[in-house]
Amino acid sequence: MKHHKHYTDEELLCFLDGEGDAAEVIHCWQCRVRMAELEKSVASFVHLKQDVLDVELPSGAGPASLLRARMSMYKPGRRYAPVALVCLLVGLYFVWPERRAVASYLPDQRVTPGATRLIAQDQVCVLSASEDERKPSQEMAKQVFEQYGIRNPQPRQFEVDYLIAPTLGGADDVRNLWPQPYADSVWNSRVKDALEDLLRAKVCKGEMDLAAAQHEMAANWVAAYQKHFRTKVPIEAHALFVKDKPWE
Amino acid sequence: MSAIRSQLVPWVWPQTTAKPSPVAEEVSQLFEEFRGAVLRYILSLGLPMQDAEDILQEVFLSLFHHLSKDKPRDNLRGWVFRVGHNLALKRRQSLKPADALPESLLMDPGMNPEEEVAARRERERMLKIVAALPERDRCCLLLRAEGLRYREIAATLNLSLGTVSATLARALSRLQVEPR
Repeated sequence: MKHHKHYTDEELLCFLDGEGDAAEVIHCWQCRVRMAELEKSVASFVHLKQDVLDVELPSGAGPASLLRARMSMYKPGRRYAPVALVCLLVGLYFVWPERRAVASYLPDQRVTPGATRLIAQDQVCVLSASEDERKPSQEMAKQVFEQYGIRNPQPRQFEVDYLIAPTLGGADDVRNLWPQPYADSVWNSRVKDALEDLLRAKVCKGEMDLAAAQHEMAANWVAAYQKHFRTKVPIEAHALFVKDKPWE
Repeated sequence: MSAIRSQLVPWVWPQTTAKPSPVAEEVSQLFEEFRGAVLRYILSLGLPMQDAEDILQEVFLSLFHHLSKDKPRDNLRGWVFRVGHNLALKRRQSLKPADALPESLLMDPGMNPEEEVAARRERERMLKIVAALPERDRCCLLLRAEGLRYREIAATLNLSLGTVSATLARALSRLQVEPR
């Protein structure tokens, strides 16, 4: 009769994990008992991991959108012609100077530095609801699209948005307006609306100066969002939040 | 002139609404599939959620570049975990020492003496053991619990297959339920 050796823990675990042939183990009761003990340890660790070690993960929708946006900026097929691209850019700069600005989630500072009207901090907090719904005139919107070289803007693609919101003392001035992607970009106008509401609340609670809020919006509203909401990507609920209508 | 312009403009201002490339589609699907497991693993290495999310973006952007260059696509799950593991360790070095261990592993089991039920004692005992394991052993256990096969764990942690199986067996022996 053939004498079977006892398997080591390592070998038994390999059998359990499907990394070896477990057929021989069934002949040895001691090995089977030891295998069951190892299985019990696996179960205990899995329960521990599920109950204690694993934290609840936030939704992946925002990060997935951000990843898609970052990948869309990479054009592998065009790596072979960087010099041609530079020449082309220089050429276009002179041929179509009015197209230097491009619609983006951040405005072109040369065209849209932001503009404010004279208003006191406490007045901001008693502004009527109509201030929140203020929209630029069609004439101004047309001027803004021209400045950004958008000749044939598609309805619902943009919101001609105030860089400094009227509810924060922003002026009705083309220097305070730019065509912001309405929903296509990760950092779209819906996300910005959530920041505007938060900053106004902070100003009215006395947690922030009006001038500081205006400056943060004008300098880089995305950086301001990341700072105040303590996140690098937009919060999903904000991306879905609809306050202002798109340009139509 | 306008015809030339319409051909040139997309070169200069790529449209964000353009259809994603097949590689981008594939990476987006892999992101959906692996995000939870990789994020949990990176968090288990002691990184705050925001850093872990940052690293995850870097991992999948690297994967996108990797696949865009037609590099090998075998064992992509192991690849993703390996890059995540390396980036997480690198990021952790720049954090303060207090941030360097997951909060769950720093729990003081003596905080709730009134809850002396058997299940809790057992969990506390195991937490202590897991916290005391060498990091390599803990990583092996966590990766195995995320469903990685031995060769994937070996590729992630840059170990031999033999070392992975020996490490797992040793770690599980330590976790073994104590005889009553």
